[in-house]
Amino acid sequence: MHELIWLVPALPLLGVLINGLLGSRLSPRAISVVGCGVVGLAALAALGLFAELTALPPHTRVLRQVLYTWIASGNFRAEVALLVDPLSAVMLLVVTGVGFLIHVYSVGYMHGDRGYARYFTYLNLFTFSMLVLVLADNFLLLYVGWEGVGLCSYLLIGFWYERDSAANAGKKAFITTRIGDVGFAVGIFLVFATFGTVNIREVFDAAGRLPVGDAALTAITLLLFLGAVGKSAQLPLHVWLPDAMEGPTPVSALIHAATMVTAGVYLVARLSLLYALAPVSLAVVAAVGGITAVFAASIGLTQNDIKRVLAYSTLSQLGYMFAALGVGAWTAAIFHLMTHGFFKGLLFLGSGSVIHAVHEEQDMRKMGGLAKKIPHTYWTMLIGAVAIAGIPPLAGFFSKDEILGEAYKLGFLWVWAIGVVVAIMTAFYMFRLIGLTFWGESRVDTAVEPRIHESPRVMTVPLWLLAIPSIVLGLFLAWPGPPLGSLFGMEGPGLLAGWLEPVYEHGFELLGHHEAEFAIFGIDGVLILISVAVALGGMLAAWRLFGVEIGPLQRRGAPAQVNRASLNKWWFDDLNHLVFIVIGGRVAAFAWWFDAKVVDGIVNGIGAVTRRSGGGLARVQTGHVQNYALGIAVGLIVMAGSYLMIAGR
Amino acid sequence: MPDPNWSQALRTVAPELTLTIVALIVLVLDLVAGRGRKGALAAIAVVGTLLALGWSVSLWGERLVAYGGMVVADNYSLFFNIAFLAITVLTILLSTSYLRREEADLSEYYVLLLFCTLGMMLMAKGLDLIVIFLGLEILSISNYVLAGFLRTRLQSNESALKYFLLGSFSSAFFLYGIALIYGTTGSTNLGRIAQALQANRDPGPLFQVGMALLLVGFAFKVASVPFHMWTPDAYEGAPTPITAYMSVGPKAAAFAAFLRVFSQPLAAMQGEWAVVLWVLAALTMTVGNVVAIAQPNIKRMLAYSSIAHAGYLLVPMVASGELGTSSLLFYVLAYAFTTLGAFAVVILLSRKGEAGYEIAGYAGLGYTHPVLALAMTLFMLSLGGIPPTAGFVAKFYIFSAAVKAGYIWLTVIGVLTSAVSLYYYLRIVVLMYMREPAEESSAATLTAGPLVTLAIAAFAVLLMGLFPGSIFTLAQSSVFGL
Repeated sequence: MHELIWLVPALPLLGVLINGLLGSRLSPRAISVVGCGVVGLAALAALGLFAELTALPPHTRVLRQVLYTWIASGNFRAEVALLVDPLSAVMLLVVTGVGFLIHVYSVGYMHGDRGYARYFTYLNLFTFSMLVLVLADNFLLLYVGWEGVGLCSYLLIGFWYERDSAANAGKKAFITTRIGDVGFAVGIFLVFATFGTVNIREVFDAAGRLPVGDAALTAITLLLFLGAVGKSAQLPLHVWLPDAMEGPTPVSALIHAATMVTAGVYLVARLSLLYALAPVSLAVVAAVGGITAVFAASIGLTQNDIKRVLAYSTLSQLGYMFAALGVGAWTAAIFHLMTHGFFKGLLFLGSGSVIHAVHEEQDMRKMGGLAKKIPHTYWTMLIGAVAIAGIPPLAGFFSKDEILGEAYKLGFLWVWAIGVVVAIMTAFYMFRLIGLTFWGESRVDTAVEPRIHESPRVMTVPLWLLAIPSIVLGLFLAWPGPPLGSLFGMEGPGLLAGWLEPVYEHGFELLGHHEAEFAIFGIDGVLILISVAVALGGMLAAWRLFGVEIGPLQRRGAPAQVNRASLNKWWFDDLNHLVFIVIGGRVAAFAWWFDAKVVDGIVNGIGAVTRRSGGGLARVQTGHVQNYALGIAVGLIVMAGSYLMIAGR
Repeated sequence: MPDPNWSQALRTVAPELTLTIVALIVLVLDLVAGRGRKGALAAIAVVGTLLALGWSVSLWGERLVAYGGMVVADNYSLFFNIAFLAITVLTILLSTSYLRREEADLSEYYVLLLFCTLGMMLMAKGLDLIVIFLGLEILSISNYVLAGFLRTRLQSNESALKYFLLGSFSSAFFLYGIALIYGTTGSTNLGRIAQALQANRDPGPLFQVGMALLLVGFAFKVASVPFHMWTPDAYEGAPTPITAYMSVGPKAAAFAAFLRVFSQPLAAMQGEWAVVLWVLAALTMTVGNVVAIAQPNIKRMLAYSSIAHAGYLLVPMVASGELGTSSLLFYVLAYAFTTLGAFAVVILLSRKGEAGYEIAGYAGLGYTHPVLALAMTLFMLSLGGIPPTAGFVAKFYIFSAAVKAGYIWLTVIGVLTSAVSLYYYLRIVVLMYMREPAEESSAATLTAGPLVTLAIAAFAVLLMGLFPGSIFTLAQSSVFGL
C-alpha cells in the first residue's frame, strides 16, 4: 500500500483537473460527484494507509514514498517524497474525513451558485495542497503545500467577489499571512544554511548534535513559528481570520476552522524536536498561544455576527493548542486539534444551516427561537456547543482537560490559569450564541419568519455525522488512559497518546518529561472538577442572560470600557489598517513618486532645467534624459568613491 | 597574430556566421518580396536562427579558442547562446501578427533582430574586453532602432531616443573603463588582465576606477538601480515584442559578459566589488518591486518587474562560487521563458494602435478566455516565485547560493521583496478570476505565433518547476572551468 501514498493527494488533484478544465461543460450533478468523490476516495486511501500503519510495530510506523528527486545540486537534494507516520496519519484522517463531509455539505449549500464548478475546483485544490503540506517529508515540499493552501484560502475568501467586503477580506488575508510566510521562507533558508539539508529527518539528526538553546536553532524555530502565527491567525497576525468569514460557510468550516488554520499547529508539532532544543522559542509559542486564547475569547463575548463569534472562538482554541505546544504537551495539542476539527467544523456547518434558514441573515440579534423550527441544526449545534465548552463526556472535555492538566503539572501555572479563564469565556459565548439563535422568542424579520425551513438532507446528514465524533471522539481517543480509564483502575496512556508516542518520545526525553502519575482522586480530580465547574458556570451565566426568557442584548454588568474594547476587537483592525493599508499604500505611491520625480528633481536642481512644453517631441524631454544621465553620473561617482574607499582600507 | 587553424576558428564562430548570413539573405530577399509578404521572411529568419541554434548545440562540450584568444566557444557561452537563439525564435513568433496589425511589417525588423542577437552572442563569447564591447554595440545599435520601429508613434520615438542617448552615455563609461584597465594592466584580454593582477596585487586607483566604470556600463545594461531610469520609458514605448525581447535578451547578454568579466580576471578582487553589488542588488530588488505595485499599465509593470529581476540576478553574482554562477544561469532561463510567456498573453490581449495594456482590462479573463488566464496565472506565479513553477526553483537556487556564501541579510531582503512582488503579480490573477469582465475589454485575437510562444513558455516553466534537475545539471556543466 505504501507505494500508493501518492494517490491520497493525487485524487483531489484529479478533481481539480476535471472540474477546472471541463467544469463549464459538466452538469452540477457531475461536478458534485467528481468534487466529493475524489475526496471520499482519498479518505478511503488514507484509511488504508492508517490500517497499514497500525499493522506495524510501534517504532517502525513510518511509510515513505519517494516520487522523484525534485531539486539536486552537489550533495544537496530535495525529493518529492511523501511521509506517513503516526502524526501525519492522524492529520490525514482529519483532513480527508472532515473534508469529505464538508464537500458533501457544500453540494446543498452552494446549490445553484453561479460559480459551482469554480467552487469545487478551489476546494479540491485546497484539499490537495493541504495533503501535500501534511505528507511532505522535507521543508521545500512543505512550503509548496503551505503556499498552496494560502492561495486557495485567498481565492475562497474572495469567492463572492461581487461583495466588496469579500474582496477586501481576501486581500487582507493575503497581506497578513504573507508577513508570516516571509518568516517561514527565511526560516527554511536558515535551515538549509545551518544543516545543509531540508529533509526533516536529517535536520532532526543534525539538530540533535547542537547544544540546547543554540542561537541558530532559536532563530530558525522563531522564524518558522512566525509562519505558523500567520497561517494559524495568532496574535498579532490574527486580523484576517474574522474577516475570512466573508467566504462561503463550508469554506469557513473546512479551511478556517478544521484544517488550514491548524497547519501552524501541525508545523510546530511536526518540528517538536527542534522546539525542544530551543527553550526560548517554546516559551514564545506558549505566550503567544495563551495571550491569543484569552484575547480572542474576550472579543467573542460581544460579537453579534454568528460566524464571527465562531471565528474568534477558533482563534481562541488555536491559541489553546499553541499554549499546549509551548508547554510541551504535544499530544494534548494534537488531541485538541482533532476534536476541535470535528466540533468546530460542526458548529460552522450548523451556523451555515442557520444562515440558510433565515435567508442569509448572520446577525444573531435578528434570530431567536429557532430551536423548534430547525431541530436538526439545533440539536447538532447544541452538541457542538457542549463539546467545545468542555462538559464531559463530550469530546472537548477530554482534550481541553488534558491541556489544562498537563500545563498545571508541568509547572506552567500561568498557562493553566489562562486556560481556566478562557474555559469560562468559551462556555459563556457559546451558550450566548445558542441562546440568541435558538432560544427565547423569535426576532426574525416578519417577512422571513414564515419561510424558515430546515436545510436539505445533504446538509443535515453531514451535521449528524460530525456530531457523532464530537460526542465520542474524546472518550475514544483518551481510552484507556486518564481520566476515565483511571477511574476504572486502568493504566497506561490513552489511545492517541500511545499512538503518537514514537513520534514524541525523543522530544519528551529532551524536555525531561516523565510519565506523570495520574491521580484521579488527587490533584487531577481537583483540576477536572475545576475545569468542569468553570465550564458549567459560564454556561449557566449565559443561560441566565440569554436563556429561555428573552435576554437583554447588551451584556449588563461589564464595565463599559471593557465592553467597548471587546466590541471593537481591541482596535486591532484600525491599527492594521493604518499600518498596512494607509501607510503601506503611501509608501508604494511615495516610492513611485520619489523614483519618478525626486530622483530626477534633485538632479534637476543641479543640472540644466528644461520645462515640459506641450505637444510633439517635447515629451522626449531632453532635460529629462539629461537628468537620467546625470543620475547615472552621480551614481558612478558615489559608487567609484565608495569603491576606492573599500579598496583603500 | 594569424590563427594557424582556420577551420577551428570558423567552427568557433559558426553560429554567429550563420546568423549573419541569414540576416543578409533576409535583407536581400526583401527586395523581391512584396509588401504584406514579409511572413515568409520571418520564416527564413526563424529557420536561420534554429540553424545557428543547432550549430551551437553541436559545439557543446568543446572548448574552442580562436582569433588570438579573443573568442571562445565553451559551454558557458554556448548555454547563453542557445538561450539567446531560443529567445529570438520566440520573439519572432510574437512579432509577425503584431507587426501586421501595427502596419509596420518591414523585413528590416527581422534583420535588426538577428543582428541584435549576433551582438548578444558575441558578448557571451568574448574573451577580450574589446570583443565584448563590440558585441555590446552591435546589440545596442540594433536595439535602439528596434525600440523606435513604430515610426509614427510618439512613444516609440521617445523610447528609442532615450534609450539611445543614455545607452551611448553608458557605452562611453564602459569604453573609458576598458581604456583605464588597458592602461594599468597593458591588455584588454581577460586572461592577461588576470595574469597582470596576479603579478601585481595592488593595481592602483586608476584600475579601480576602470573597474567601477565597467560596472556602471554593465549595471546600465542590466537596468540595475540607480542606473535603471531609462527602462520604464524605453520599455513602455517600444513595440511590445521588442519590450519582451529587451527585458530578457540584452539583459541576459549583459549578465553573461558581466559574470565572465567579474568572475574571471577580477575574481581576486571579489571582496571589493561584491560589496558594491550587494548594495546594487538590494536597491534593485527593493525599488523595482515597490514601484511596480503602483503601475496601472501592464507593460510598465513588467518593465519594473524586469528591473526587480535584475536585482535577483545580482544576488548570485554577489554569492559567486559554482552554485552562485550556475544558479544565475538557471535563473536567466527561467526568467526568460516566464517573461516571454507573459508577454505572449499581453500581445494576444492588446489591440491595434498599441492599446489594451491597462491592467484593469484583464478583469474577468478567467471567464472569457480560461486558457489564456490559466497560462497568465502560471507566469505570474512563476515571476512571483511560487511553487511548482520555474520561478520558484530559480529563486530557491539563487537564495540558497547566497545563504551558503553567508549573505543571510541579502536573502532576507530578497525574500521580503518577493513577498511584496506577489502583491502586484497576484493582483492580475485576482482581476482575471475575481472580477466581472469589463464591457469591451479582453477581446483577444488569437493568432498562431504568440500562441506557440505561449505554449512553449508554459511548458518550459512547468518543466523547470517540476523537473529542474536536468536543466540545472546543464547549467552546472556550463560554469565548470569558467
